Amino acid sequence: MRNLLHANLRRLVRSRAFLIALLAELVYVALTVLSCWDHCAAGDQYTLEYILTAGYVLLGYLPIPTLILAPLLSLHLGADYGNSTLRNKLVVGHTRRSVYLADLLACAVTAVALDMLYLALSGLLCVRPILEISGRLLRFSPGQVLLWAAVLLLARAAWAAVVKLVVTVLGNRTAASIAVLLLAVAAALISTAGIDEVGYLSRNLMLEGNAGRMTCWQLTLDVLPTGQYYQVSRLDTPNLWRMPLMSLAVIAASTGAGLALFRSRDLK
Amino acid sequence: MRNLLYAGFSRLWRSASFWVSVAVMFAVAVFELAVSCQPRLQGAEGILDNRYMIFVLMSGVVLSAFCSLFIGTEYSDGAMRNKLAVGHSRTAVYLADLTVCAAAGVLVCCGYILPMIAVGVPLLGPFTLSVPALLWFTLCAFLMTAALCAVFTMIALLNQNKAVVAIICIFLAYFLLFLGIYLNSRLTEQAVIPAREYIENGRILVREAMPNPSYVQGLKRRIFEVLYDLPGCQAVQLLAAAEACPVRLPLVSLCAVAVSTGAGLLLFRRKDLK
Repeated sequence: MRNLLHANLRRLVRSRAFLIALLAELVYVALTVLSCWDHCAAGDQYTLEYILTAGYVLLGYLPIPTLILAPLLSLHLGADYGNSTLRNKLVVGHTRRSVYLADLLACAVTAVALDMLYLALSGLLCVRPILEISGRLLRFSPGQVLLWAAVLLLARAAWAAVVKLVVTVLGNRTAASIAVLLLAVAAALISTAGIDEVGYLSRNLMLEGNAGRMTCWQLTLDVLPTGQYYQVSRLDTPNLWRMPLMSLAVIAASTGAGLALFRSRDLK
Repeated sequence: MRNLLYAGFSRLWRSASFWVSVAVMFAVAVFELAVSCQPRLQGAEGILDNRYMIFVLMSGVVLSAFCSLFIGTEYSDGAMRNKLAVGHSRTAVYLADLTVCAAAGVLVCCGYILPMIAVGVPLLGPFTLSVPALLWFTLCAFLMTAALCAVFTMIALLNQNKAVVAIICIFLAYFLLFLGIYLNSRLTEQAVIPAREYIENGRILVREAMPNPSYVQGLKRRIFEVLYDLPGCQAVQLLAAAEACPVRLPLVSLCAVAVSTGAGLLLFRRKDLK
């Protein structure tokens, strides 16, 4: 398992897709930081938690880091099927379970590491202008901000687990890339609609049936990793305690389903 | 060329990616109809008009996946080389693929439109838009779809890696859509923030009208307006001005088809197909 994980991470880090994703992430950090400096120069009083979390869903509807990660993870995982790497791993004696878990761990580690890079760089580069203009770094308590960051990172791991499941189900690099990207787009659209619906329904709770609909939409937003990004990016998390539990449930369910499928699959 | 078109449509009819695309649009139509029932029961009017037009937002993303898969298969299965080997010109191959993809784009849109009309009219009441306005909107939407298909066809024919093409096309469709949403929000900013009265510490205060700092003007506005007309971005514009789509929009779509096809043909002729 350790060898597999090590080999996976090495292959991922050396791939061209990772290099492009890293560059895209750095460009996105630069855009976020420049936008923050621009706002500070105009006298807008932002605090750090707003900068850190707003970047997860640009302008309130574009989950850029998710879109950067989607092709990276699907291309990396899909390449195993195309190059017969999977068969080779099994031939030399690794179990299917360890192969699956090593893939999942490598993806989760990479995804979380890229997110942490974004959080660390944009945080460090925005501290000074924020302090100069606003006079304070955070509007919420440091504990609350750390909790939000932890929720985001756990949701990212859940997203990686879902990507791994999709690639396992499809077993084809192209189909997996398309499916994962469309999944990201669909999740973004559902989350945008969910946020709007929850806002509308909370203002009209007295109308018949609205309470039930609001519960459904809120649950959808809490279950979807993208829905969690949307909520945290707005610094509005009515069920903060439930979100990490939902992420863990998504990881467990997708890993369980993926493992069951992978064990019974004819790899040819 | 006729043989190529015949073979292309024959393959389209049997293509799983085509039927999946139609099914996705059909499912979106069913979802839209389902979520429209509640507001209709609460007495809302004109719901069908809004729901009918949603397909312009979806078609770009769905067709980006379809075009990359459909054309990518020609490379991976060696069909492209075979077509050239039996004597078809590269121009004919390109134009046949473009025609099939554009027609598929319109058919995929019909996967949304038909259930919306067949079930939506009895369920949600008739359209409040006039029939000519509705037909004009649909025509503009079809032309925008064809323009997007032309761009995706160009990308797919110039790159032999199916996965990379799919990623580039989906990103492009998504980027254009959200660029349209962003430009719409910037271009619809009011030039002047109107005067308003408000109460502070029990006193009625008046804030004078003042220029809106977010209002885009000058050269920047001109650039934004040009970008807003691009296919993809146009989807938002079509949705916002469904009753009276400017004649400019279908013309821009036709220009996009001509430019992308011209550039694509030029590069495809020189391409080493291995």
